[in-house]
Amino acid sequence: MNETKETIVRIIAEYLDKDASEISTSDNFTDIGLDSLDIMELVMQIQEELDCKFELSQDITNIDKLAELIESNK
Amino acid sequence: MLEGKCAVITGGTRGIGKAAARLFLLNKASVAVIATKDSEEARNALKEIDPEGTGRLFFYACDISDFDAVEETAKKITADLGKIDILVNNAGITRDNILPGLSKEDIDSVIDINLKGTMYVTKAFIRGMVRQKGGSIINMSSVVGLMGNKGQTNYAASKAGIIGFTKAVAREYGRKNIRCNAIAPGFIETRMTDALNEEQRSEIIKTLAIERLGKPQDVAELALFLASDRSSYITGEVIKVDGGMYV
Repeated sequence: MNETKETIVRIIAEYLDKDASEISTSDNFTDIGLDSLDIMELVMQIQEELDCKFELSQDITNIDKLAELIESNK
Repeated sequence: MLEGKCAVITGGTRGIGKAAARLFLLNKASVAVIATKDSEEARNALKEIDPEGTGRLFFYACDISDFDAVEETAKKITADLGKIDILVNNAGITRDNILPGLSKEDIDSVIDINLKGTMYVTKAFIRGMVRQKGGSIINMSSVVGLMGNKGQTNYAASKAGIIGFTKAVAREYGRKNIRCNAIAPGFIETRMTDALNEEQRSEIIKTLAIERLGKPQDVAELALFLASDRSSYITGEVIKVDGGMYV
C-alpha cells in the first residue's frame, strides 16, 4: 500500500473509530459506513493532510480510486 | 451541569452573553468569551463574570463579521482549551429605523454580524465537534425573528435567518451527536433595550403575559439547559424566552 493510500485509510479509520485493518480499500464508501456528508468532511481532512486539491466525482467510490485520483493530480 | 465541558460564547462581555458566561462558569465549564475589542469595559466584565478567579475563563478579541479573523481565533481557542463542546452564538447588534431610513451600512452591518457572524463562527468550530463526536450549538435569535417588528426589518431578517440556519445545522449534524437550537428572547433588560424610554417600556410591558421585562439570567438559564446533556434529545428547536409576548 502506498503512502497516499495509507494516509487515507488512517484518516478514515480514525474518523470511524475503527482499526485501519478493518478498512477495506476496495469496498464502496457506503459499505464502510460513510455517507455523503462524511465524505465531504473526510475530503477536507485528506486535502489538508496531504496538501493537495482534488474534485471528487461520482466515479470515485472507494479508497483505491481516491488514492489513484490524488496520485494522478500530483 | 457542565463539568469538564468547554464553551465558547460570542458577545460574552455584555447582557445575555455575560450572564451565560457567569452561569456556565458556576456550573464548572471552561468558558472562552469573545468580544469585538479588548477594552476596559470588557476587562471589567471579565472580573464580574469570574470574581473568584477560577482560571477557567478565557478572553479573545475578534470581529465575528471578519471571516479570516474568526478562523484564526477559533484555532487559538481550540488550542488553548483543547476542545469545544458548547458554542453560544450570542453576539448581535441593532440598527433600528423604518425601512426607507435604513442605510446600506445599517442593513449590511446587522446581517454581517448577526447572521453571517453566526455562520462564520459555527463553521469554524463545527469540524472540531464532528471530530470529537458531539456538541451543542445555541444560537441567539429573537422573538422579532418570529413575529417581525416595525422599525427592525434588518434585525428581524437577521434573526429569522438564524432560525433557518439553526434548523439546517441540526439536520446536517444531528447524526454526529451535535445539537443545534435557537433561543428567541423577547424584551430583555440589556443595553439593547436601554434605549427605550419609560413610555415605550410600559407600552411593551402591557403586551406581555408576565408583566415585566426579562433579565439576562432568564435567558442564560435556558442556554445552560440547552448546553447540558439534560437536553440531549432536543435539536432544531426554537424556544422563546419572552414572558408570553408572542403566544
